[in-house]
Amino acid sequence: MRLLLIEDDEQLGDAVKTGLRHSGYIVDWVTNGEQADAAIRSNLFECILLDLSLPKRTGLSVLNQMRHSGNLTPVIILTAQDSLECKIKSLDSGADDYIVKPFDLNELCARIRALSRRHLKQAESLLKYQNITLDPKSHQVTLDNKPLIIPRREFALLQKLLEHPGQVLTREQLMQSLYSWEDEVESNALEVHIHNLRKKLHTKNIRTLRGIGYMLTKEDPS
Amino acid sequence: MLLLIIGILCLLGLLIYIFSRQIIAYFNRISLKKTKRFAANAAHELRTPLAAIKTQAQIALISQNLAEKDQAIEKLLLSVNRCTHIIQQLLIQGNLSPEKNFSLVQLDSIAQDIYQLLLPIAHSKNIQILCQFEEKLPAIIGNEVTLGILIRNLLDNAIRYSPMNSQINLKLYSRKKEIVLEIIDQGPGIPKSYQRSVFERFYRILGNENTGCGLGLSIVQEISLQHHARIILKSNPAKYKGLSIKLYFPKATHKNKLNTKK
Repeated sequence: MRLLLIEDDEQLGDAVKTGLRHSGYIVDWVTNGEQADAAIRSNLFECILLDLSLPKRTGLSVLNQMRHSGNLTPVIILTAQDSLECKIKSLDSGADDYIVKPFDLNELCARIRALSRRHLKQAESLLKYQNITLDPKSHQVTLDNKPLIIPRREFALLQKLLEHPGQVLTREQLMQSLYSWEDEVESNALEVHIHNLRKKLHTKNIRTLRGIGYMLTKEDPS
Repeated sequence: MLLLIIGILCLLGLLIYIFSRQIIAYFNRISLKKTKRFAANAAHELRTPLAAIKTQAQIALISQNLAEKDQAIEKLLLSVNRCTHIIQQLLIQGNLSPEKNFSLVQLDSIAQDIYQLLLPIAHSKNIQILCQFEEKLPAIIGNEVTLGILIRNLLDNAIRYSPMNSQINLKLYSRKKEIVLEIIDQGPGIPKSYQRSVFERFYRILGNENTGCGLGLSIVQEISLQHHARIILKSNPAKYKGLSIKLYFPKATHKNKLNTKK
């Protein structure tokens, strides 16, 4: 899952970015309102973490602009302000959640997962498909109830496919959800990951749509 | 007649008693407000650095890789130092009061002490500090301790923002009615549009990775005000790139000397 972190404090931003990456997320980090606007417009993120006190533009104005332009990406506010009126104002301005610093990294991840379920209209975080399960919390994948070890990016790719069964995901969409702007990527990286997943899962249900992308065929309702 | 006088004196005494209690209560309220405000500010300002510490500690715990753990712990220590710095600056600011513990002081000897104190830090960045103090510099009226804090904050800033291998000029000279303290560095300077805001508490210009905490200049301003000094900022002065800060202190005159403690 790809996240946008908008936080101007160098030490905190670095710590949160690292912590979230350790937890399996793809993270891009910007430090001011202008960069935030540009990043948000790119529409690449599944969740946005927004600090309220930014230089040059307030976090609230970034949020307002985003919602006015119709962007529905889930937003969690990270802030040192714990006043009731600030919480109410932020939530009414379009934030989906509000967490006060200092916060627990695990709690932040749990709230991100909660918003993701809401956004994807899932009842629970655990993803199930035929004989495969994927748990975003523990990073565990099982095949026929036996644990399967897969590296970080293949996990992210599998998660994306399982979240959108029956939907065509273009090559570009998949690449953008697997790599942050900082990462250097080989041109055939995606093909390699797909190949590995097919092998490890012994599945023919990951279909290639030549020239377009990939799709996980919908599960049979039987 | 005597009774009347005694009566009036008693009444006066009572009035003074009531009045002074009101004054004390008033000052207590102010200082309680001030204390509350100070505590609220301190709490607020420490939250973000504490958040960094918490997250870094959690990273250190979950890292399997020893090198990653070490890195997380090192960053943790940096954050702790930062918190300490913030607390120190907050305490200094909290303690700055308008009471005049003023006497005749020599800016050059105070500056000399601060220069010696910060020399090792400048040295670690290979920065040269050039002291140009006018001989027989006249005295000013002020508080030695707070003036030391002021100069330390200015020189500390200059060192922080100066690139390696650069030069800082620390000048003290007199004009007709004022003594001028000037610090010139070769750092990035402060664009004109930000020159007013930099004195606000905790204001830091975007994009700098410095580990200061943004209170330095507001402390400088407060101390300058107490000393009736004015501050002029100039960015990219003619000869050197960077920032020039000048403080103009009124000279000690015969009149104000009389009002000071000895």
